[in-house]
Amino acid sequence: MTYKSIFLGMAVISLATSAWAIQNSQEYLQCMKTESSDAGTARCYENEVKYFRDMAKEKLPEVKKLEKVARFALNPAYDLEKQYQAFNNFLESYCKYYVKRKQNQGYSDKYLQADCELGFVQMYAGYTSGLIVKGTDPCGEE
Amino acid sequence: MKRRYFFLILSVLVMNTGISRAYEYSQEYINCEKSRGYANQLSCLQEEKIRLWQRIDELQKKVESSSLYNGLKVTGYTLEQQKKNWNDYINSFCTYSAATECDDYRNPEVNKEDCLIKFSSVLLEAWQDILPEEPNRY
Repeated sequence: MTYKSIFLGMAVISLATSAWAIQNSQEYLQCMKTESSDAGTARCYENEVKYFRDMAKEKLPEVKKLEKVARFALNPAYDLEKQYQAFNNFLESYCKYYVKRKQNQGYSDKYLQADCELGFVQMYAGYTSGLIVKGTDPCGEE
Repeated sequence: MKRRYFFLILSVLVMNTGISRAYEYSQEYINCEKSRGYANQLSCLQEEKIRLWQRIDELQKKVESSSLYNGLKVTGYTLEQQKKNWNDYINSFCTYSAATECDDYRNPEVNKEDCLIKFSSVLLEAWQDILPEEPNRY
């Protein structure tokens, strides 16, 4: 991942979730160590993006169960699946712009798209997990 | 306590990276809070959000009128759509986030407004990232 997307992701995760921080999976770290080909590296990225997408999606039912969140359940504006979709829609369009712009600037990195996507899906997984942390233990330990 | 950890972590990130910064409230906001008092913080935050979105809209117009935009448009997306998607997401997310916030000093409306400002600034930063001719700061 580029420094930019890592730091953008981490800063936003911190903004959204207080003490929550998210890390790359062990599988991804191992994969990046062992794969040397472009195709192999691309697969590492692909799997990691899927890992965080799945993680975020799996956590949605947990968020719905939160007592404080439950009161929004009947309002379609706060449908969590729609929220997830809106985020994905943004991610898709933004990352296409990002890649196009970087290519215009002369970057030829093969992983620009995956790199951009990974930064954002990590953010989303971080926010969702942060909601659960705050919702189940809103004040934490003093 | 968590709030303190949050700022500590954020500060460390900011110091380490120098790239993504915490949102810095404008001087207008600081003056507003001083003059109207903490009890009227919500109106100051709402005005701060309006100022931020004015900057986002200005940035959007600048991109759309530049030659760069024709190149970006081939991706099949407009900045307007992108803005709408981000807005849909943050409005929904910040409502949830404000509801789960632990903060004895603020009300959910204030928390939500604060959340919206911080996430709006992320869009501004993301757009500035793809537009190097803009100074990369907010």
